[in-house]
Formats: sequence, C-alpha cells, structure tokens
Amino acid sequence: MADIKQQVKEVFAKVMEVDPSLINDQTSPDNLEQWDSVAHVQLVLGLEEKFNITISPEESIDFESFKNIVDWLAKNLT
Amino acid sequence: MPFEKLQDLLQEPVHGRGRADKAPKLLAAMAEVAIFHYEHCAPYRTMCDKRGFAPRDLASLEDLPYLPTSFFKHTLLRSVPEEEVFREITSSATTSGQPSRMALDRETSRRQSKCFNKVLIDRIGSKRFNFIVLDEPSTVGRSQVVSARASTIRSLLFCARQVDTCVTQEGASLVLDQEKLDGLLQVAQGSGDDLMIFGFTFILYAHVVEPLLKAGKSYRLPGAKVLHIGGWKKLEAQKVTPEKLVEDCCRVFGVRPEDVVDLYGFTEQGGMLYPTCQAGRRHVPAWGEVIVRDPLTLEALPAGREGLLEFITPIQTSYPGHAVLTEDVGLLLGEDDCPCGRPGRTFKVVGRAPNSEVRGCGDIMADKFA
Repeated sequence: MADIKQQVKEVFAKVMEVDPSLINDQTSPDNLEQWDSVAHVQLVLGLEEKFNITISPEESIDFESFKNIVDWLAKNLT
Repeated sequence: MPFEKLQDLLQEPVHGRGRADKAPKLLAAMAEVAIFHYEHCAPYRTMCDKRGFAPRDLASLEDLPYLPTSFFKHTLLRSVPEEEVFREITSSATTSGQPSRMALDRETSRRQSKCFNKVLIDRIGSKRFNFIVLDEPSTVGRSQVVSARASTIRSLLFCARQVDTCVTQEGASLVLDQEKLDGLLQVAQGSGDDLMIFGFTFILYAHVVEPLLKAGKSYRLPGAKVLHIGGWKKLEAQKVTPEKLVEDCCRVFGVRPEDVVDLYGFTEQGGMLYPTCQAGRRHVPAWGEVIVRDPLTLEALPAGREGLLEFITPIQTSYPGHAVLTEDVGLLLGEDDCPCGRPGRTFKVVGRAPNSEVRGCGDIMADKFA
C-alpha cells in the first residue's frame, strides 16, 4: 500500500507539476487548483502507464481524491 | 444524511426502471430539494409564495413552480452561503448580451460532473477515444480561465485517450486546418483505434462535412463516433435537418447512423445531458424529467404536441435550478416505448421559440468562423 501511495504521488507530482510533499490523502480537486478536467485525464493516463493497467472512464468516475485513487488501485492491482 | 432522497435517486441505473418505478423516487427527491431551496433562497421563496406553492405539499412534478431561463439573467440565485460558492457559471453570451448566472458549490459541481459522465458513458460506452476536436488548441489546454465553449469540450474529455484539434485562431477568426484534419482522419482510418470526432453542430456541418462532400472526399471509419452539440438555428436557415446531418456524416466519415450523436443541454441545468439515442430520440435520466408546456396557457401537454420544454432535476443544490422552463420548443415522443430499449419519456427538440435569443456555444461560435 505504501509503495502504491508513493508511486501515485509521483504521477500526481508530474501531472500537476507540484512538489510531491504537497500531496496527501486529503488532496482533491477542491484543494489542488491544478487538478482540473484536463489534468484529470492526464492523471488517469499516467496511472495506466505507471501501473500497466487499463482504467475505464466508468471506473474513474469516483476518482475524487488522492485517497480514493490509492484505495481503488490497492483493490484492483491484486 | 443531507439530501438522502437525492442520494438514493443517484444510485439508480442511468435510465431507471420505467415510469412506474421512477415517478415516486423522483418526486420525493424533488420535494426534498424544493423544500431546501425554499428555506435557503429568498427570491425562490418569494416566487413560491406568490404562486401559493408550498414545497411540502408537492403532489406532482407538473405542480412544481418552474423558473424561466430569463430569471437567471436578473439575479445570481443561490441556496448556500456565499463563502461556499466556488464558481459562478455564466452562459455563453446571447444576442441581448445578458448571460444567465448560476452559483456552484463544490458538491453541486461534483454531482453534475458525475451525472453528465454517467449519461455519456451510457450512450457511447465506457472506453477511451482518440478525440479530434473541431476547435482550437486552447480549448483543450491547461488554463486558469475557461470559456463556456472550452468548458463544454473539457467536460467530454474524461473519456479521452488522446486529443487533437484542427482549428486555428487567425486574428478574431477561426479557421479550419483542412490538411491537419485530413491527416488525422487518414491515420484514424488505418489504426483501428476508437475515434471520436467532436464539434459544434454548425462548424461540423458547414465547415467540415459539407466542404468534404463537395470535394468528393470520404473516409471509412466504421467504429468511430461523431458527437456534436450546439444551436440549429443557423443550419435551419440552410435547410439542413438533423436527418440530413446524420446522413451526410455517414457519407463523409463512413460511420454508422447510430454513431452520430446530437447532444442537448443548457447552462441553467449543468450536468444534465440529453444525447440522441440509437433510435434518434432523446431520453431523460432517472434523476430528471421533461414536461412540454403550451406556450400560451403553460399547461402540460400530452405526447405529440409541440410546446416549450421544461426540465426537472434535483441535482443542483447550490441554486434553485431544479425546474427550468426553456425557450426551446419540442415535443414528447412517448414513454417506455423507445426501440433502443431505454425506459422513460422520450422527446425531440424542434428549435428555439420565436423571438427567443440566439444562444449556445455553437451558434455563437459560428459567427467567428472564417
């Protein structure tokens, strides 16, 4: 889980162009200005590449926070 | 839990389970939000009181007082404290120059996005597409300031894998880059990737489809989808019907008729999207309803009779946009009887009411095209 979290943080930092230390469980579009609809698409594609998986638009509907994403990956990567 | 009935409603399948199942759930959610707006938005309460309407007594959707779209031009309606409003949405400029204004809180914004995405996925499938956007690059780029037009395009990108644009801005005019478009379509033709061509209706037809037809050019993109949105007023003037647009898109792009999707929606009820289905009709999701009203008496009309379209939905809780009477004319086509298999009411948009303003990104954008 810690490893997933760190990797997701790296994707976030790259896509959003922010320092990884600014990303935490509470990070969401509500408090991260860079997280707009365009960044969201780049984020999902970045996660697909990083974890070598396919994330459908339906699955990503609930990606509303950093924690949501990490939890979803933890559940679906096994 | 706040808006418990609304939360329940949003758990339903996109098009619910038919009229008998939908009506009581939607009515309960509408009563819940009507009471909320009555208690938290003074102008709405005043309007209800003047009409002698008590939200707690709501017995049918037809009884719910509706706000005409013009109401949103005069005042910024909100049902949440000012500090919770994180974005003010304005409609694209109209011929009167007076746009509608809506106050969004984050909860409403999130809810609208989810509802929008669910309806679109229901129509086009849950997969990612390579998008060809018939607009200029800034509409899909990272930017702090987003126009209504760009916002419409961005809302579709949740199902994108790659995005290309093929319009350039030259001074105040927009110009189609025909060479680039041809290149993108040639590549798509050979790749077999899922392709989505998106454009505002007038631009798609008058600046892409029609010129390609005249030039005798066509492509074979049998799995591709063509999505378009925007006003029909300018195309109507050229006697281009929705049927002709579908037919000509099929001839030029080699797509199937059911893959040409005409989106309809309006800013006063963001998040509500009404794509044409495979049978060419428009459906209303589980979390909404359509009523057609006589333009003179404002009585609800039965299927088959043209009138003003009213849309009902409980999904916006930061402002009272839950029952909106538009200036669009349409008619009900049926209920629980669409050949596509989706349950619920179906409707058709015929056009804008006489003397209404030209509005919508598509018609406004058409004036900018060289």
